[in-house]
Amino acid sequence: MGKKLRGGIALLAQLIVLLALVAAFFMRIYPVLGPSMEPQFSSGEYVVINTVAYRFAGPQHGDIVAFLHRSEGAEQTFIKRVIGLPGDRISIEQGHVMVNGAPLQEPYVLHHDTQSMSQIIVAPGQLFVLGDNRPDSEDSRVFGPIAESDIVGRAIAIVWPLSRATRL
Amino acid sequence: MNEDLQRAVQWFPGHMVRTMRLLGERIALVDVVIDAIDARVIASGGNPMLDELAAKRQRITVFTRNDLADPNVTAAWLERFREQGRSAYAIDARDKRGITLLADLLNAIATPRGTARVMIVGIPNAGKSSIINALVKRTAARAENRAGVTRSLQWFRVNPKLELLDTPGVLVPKITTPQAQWKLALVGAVPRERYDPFEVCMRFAEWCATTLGRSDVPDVETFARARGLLRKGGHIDEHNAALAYLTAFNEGTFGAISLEHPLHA
Ligand SMILES: Nc1nc2c(ncn2[C@@H]2O[C@H](COP(=O)(O)OP(=O)(O)OP(=O)(O)O)[C@@H](O)[C@H]2O)c(=O)[nH]1
Ligand SMILES: [Mg+2]
Repeated sequence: MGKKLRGGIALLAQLIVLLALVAAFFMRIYPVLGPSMEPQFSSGEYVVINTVAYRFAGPQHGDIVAFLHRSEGAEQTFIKRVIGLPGDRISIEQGHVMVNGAPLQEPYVLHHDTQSMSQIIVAPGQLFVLGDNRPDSEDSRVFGPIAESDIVGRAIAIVWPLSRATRL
Repeated sequence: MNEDLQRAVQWFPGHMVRTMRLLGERIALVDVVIDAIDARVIASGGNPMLDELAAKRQRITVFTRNDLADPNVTAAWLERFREQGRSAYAIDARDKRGITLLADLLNAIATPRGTARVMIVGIPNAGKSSIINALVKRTAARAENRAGVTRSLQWFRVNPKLELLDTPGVLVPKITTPQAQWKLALVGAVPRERYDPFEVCMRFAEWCATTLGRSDVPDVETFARARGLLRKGGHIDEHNAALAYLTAFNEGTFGAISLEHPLHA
């Protein structure tokens, strides 16, 4: 009986290691540092990024993505929401985002601002991204559309703190 | 873009244009370029023009003032640079150990001439002259905690096989966001007359609370009261209190705080 139990535990341990390995290849856990995705994410929360999410299909409107952004001297990983896909016409009128001429419904935006942006057309291979916390986000309004190839993955869950843990 | 930001973006005095041209000429003479960046502002404290300027030169990035930066954040930045195949070292110019590592690295540079020439570049007040002083082990280059101290290019000999070129902070940071503006002002990369110190301090304190979740970092008002920086009637002297606050921050009074992280939301 002891032997059997030990064998069972060993199997379980192996399984856990295997799962951890799989997860290590396809998932990453990032802390969210900064207020730009409030109220969806708060600074200090940890999110799971699925790094193979876009292997077969590209990002969709509303996806929250992690991507690489080059600032003056260095590269950072940003987290923002996808607003415009290639071909989309995007403009912002006093804080209201227009996609292809129609106002975008944005239930995830709690903090609005009144910035405007004249219309752009998202080029092939690019994405227009915004932070949900509009007054306090550095995003495509500042640095323009991002390259799809800079995407690290899609945010799929909050894992910490446990009280906030949820799938997205 | 707000007015303040525009004001900060457009400062580029005449002597900088001249030095910029000189830098381009001198770079042909050097073997290695050291790119000094304040460890607290790795993202926006870099040199937008350096990639172009230092193309084809061996480049070493030195994170300066590491003693004032959060060790975990510095570690994350070093890891990020390593992933990108860029060589980076974090140093505290006043601590011998970090400097020894850099000195060893520089002394190991082999050149046909026998003497390695190293040029140090970076935005104003990045800590360029301090790196030189630490390497030559004496106060050879003037270093002060404000932007624009070094005015001309100057060679320093560390030993017969190693020469260093100090440069003025001509590579003005490219301030693209309001965040970058207050952060660069806070670390002293923007001349005093280009920003409102009180506003910079306010933004910092607010950022500490919202982004770092630190409520122990005082706002200017609390700080001023604790230090007795009051005018008659008990009102705080906003300007002087803010200047004292900036100094306190740069002395590490509020702890080791990095203002930019490789992960950002
Ligand atoms: N705490 C701390 N302070 C430092 C360090 N390195 C430099 N400093 C301080 O930062 C200030 C600016 O340093 P400098 O070496 O003059 O900077 P710089 O890049 O030469 O500045 P400019 O020539 O004006 O562009 C000085 O007051 C230094 O004492 C460091 O590693 N730790
Ligand atoms: Mg100097």
